[in-house]
Amino acid sequence: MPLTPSESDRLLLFLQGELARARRGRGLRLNVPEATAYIADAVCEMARDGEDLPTTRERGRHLLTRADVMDDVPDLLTEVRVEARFDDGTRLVVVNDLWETPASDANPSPAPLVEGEIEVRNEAATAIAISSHIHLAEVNPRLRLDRDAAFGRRLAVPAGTTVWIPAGETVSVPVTGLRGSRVVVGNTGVVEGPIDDPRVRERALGALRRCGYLDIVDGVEINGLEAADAAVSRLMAERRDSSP
Amino acid sequence: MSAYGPRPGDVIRLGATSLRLRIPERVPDAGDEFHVGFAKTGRDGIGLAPVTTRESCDLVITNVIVLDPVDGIRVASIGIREGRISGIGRAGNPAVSDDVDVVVGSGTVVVDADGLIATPGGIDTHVHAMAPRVFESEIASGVTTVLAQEAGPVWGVGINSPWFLGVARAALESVPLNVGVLGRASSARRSALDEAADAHICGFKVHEDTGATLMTIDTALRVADDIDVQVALHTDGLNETLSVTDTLAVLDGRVAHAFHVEGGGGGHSPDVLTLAGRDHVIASSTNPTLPYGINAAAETLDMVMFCHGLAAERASDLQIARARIRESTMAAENRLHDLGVIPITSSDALGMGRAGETWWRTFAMADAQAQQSCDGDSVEAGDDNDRILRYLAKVTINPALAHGLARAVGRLATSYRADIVLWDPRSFAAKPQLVLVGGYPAWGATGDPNATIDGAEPLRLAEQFGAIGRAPRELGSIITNERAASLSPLERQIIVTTGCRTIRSSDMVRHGVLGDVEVSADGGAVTWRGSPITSRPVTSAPLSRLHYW
Repeated sequence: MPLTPSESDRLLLFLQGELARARRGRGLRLNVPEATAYIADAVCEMARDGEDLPTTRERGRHLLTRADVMDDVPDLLTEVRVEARFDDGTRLVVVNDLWETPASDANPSPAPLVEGEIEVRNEAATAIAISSHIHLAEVNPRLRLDRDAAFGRRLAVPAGTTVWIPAGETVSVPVTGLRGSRVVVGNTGVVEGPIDDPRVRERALGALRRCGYLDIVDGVEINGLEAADAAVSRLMAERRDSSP
Repeated sequence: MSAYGPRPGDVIRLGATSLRLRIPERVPDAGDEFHVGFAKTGRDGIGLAPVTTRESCDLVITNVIVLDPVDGIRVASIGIREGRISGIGRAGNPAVSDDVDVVVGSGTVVVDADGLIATPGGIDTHVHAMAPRVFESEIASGVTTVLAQEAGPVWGVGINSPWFLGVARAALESVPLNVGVLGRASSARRSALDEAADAHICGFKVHEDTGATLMTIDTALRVADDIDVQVALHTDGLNETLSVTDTLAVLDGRVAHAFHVEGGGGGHSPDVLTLAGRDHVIASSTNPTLPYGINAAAETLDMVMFCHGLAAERASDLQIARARIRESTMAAENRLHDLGVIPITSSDALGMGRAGETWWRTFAMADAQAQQSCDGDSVEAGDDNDRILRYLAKVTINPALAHGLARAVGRLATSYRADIVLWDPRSFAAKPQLVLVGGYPAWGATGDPNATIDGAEPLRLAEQFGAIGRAPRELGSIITNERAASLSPLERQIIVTTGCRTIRSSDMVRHGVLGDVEVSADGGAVTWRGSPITSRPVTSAPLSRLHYW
């Protein structure tokens, strides 16, 4: 039977695992490549023995203890990733939390200065998530918020994090201003210009309201879910009409 | 450490060494970091500017710990355009973020390097290219510029034949590195050297095995002065026609690069180390004695015998070989590195050194010296930044300066070639994550080719796209001299040597310490500025056992 490239790699991994086992058998504490291969090879063989993926992953975590490896290994080797052939086919196994010390939930980034709070209600039937840097005035038409207050602003949360808004719920989100030269381009295409230009602002907010985006204007809720569902189609129609 | 790389004040341990890297500076991106991925900021109109790559950059390396031997340490992103570094600073879209230095376009290729360390590609000035796989070992260890002395299993120490050099260049089209070849400068007449010069050598090698006499050294320096290249000098280990003071008399103030100045690799016995500490002799070390270890002397005799055509059954051969091996100079050499006297490390690959070990051995030596030196500065600073940058300079900018390449390679700075090595700090100097040559991923950690992710075991350091097809020819450079470049232009990227004849030890970055090194007549003791100098052999070198099979 001809070997695939991946099978050749599997045999290399076996050889590494075998050398690691031999060294462990001589009472040596394993280094990084040895410990990696020891775990990865054993994971593949558990799959061969017919175990399922969750069992294999869980057992993989406990194959070696700190006493089995060189002192610096737990700092260096935090995760072993290998593809094993289970009875239902090849599956990715990621073995982490190897040394009984779960990784701390590190703060991904400092939060920026909070300039205010805006209430956002999700009127869609599904949850909607808003990420740190999206231009808040242009988010999903089914989100009810004061889009004028949101204009030129984003969430004041650590970069790359998201706020999850379940269907039907209202969440108060911290906001901060966009920085740089404050030119918004892209997304819905309604801004396409400097956000500090009142004409740009008026044109953009007008388009969103006109097309059906849920909004709160001077304390009054405008548009409803039916309009919101059609909002992107209406934006597209306006776009077609204005740019032949 | 934050998810997008460290912040000022964070202290990172380099590999399993005692070296502490303190982050002194980061671009002002707190809360507004550029990052690619699901829900991250690297999206059109947010972190990505909807502009062409000409208005932004071809490739960006994000949020990386930039180690530049000159500018120092900071967390920033590196922009690359057409193979050169176009900017280093804050990445993103200036339309919605402040202080953006590196504009990332919607079409810019992104290398997510958050939390990794970026260094310039290593420069190895001492390589015996007896087989092409030596280049694999070099690039897999983080070296991107190589000065070779052979192109095949031949008695080389320099190539002069235009025909041989031409075929070698044809072969090098598949090598994703900057490669220069040294010409053999062991000739009393300059015609043999001029012939090599016009056939695109980038420097000369004087070797005692082919003649390191008054006439050969002087001829080498005369031609080198004419064409602005460096002379790599392996002096007369027999002291047969010249002693070390005589070699200095022949140099007559002209600059040369003294290879393996410790002496195990060859040269005046027992006192070639006295060439170090002089302004016009740029000294370097080869890597087996870095760090000086308990087995260093024991392996050297067999290396000498094999590499230099000596026979164990011949008493006179054994005698001259043994005369090269001195623990005293090995111990002193390591200390002279720490003091900033010897500015360059190199391999001597396949000729008494190891192609893939210059990076880790250099930093293992830094660790050993940090532990033995007890210098007050690093204790007071609470970090080893000065030492880290000093040792970084030995593998990057200083060899570039010595050989006239420092306008193109050896730094992470705007307009330099984007030869960049990315390291996980935890395995820094031992094994790279990714090596970019000319701004393109050329070598790196790759896994099971059938997997759903690109990091499944077994991982290996192997070719990336920059190393296959015709890419190496596009990305790598041939290093040549100005006269050859104008006489017969090459249809390839070239690096032209410049400034080789005016460079001095005192120009070496984070080095340049000058002073008298003396070796006792029996070779048993070394002094520096009149005081004994030594270091203890390491019993266990960091960055070695932990990371390698």
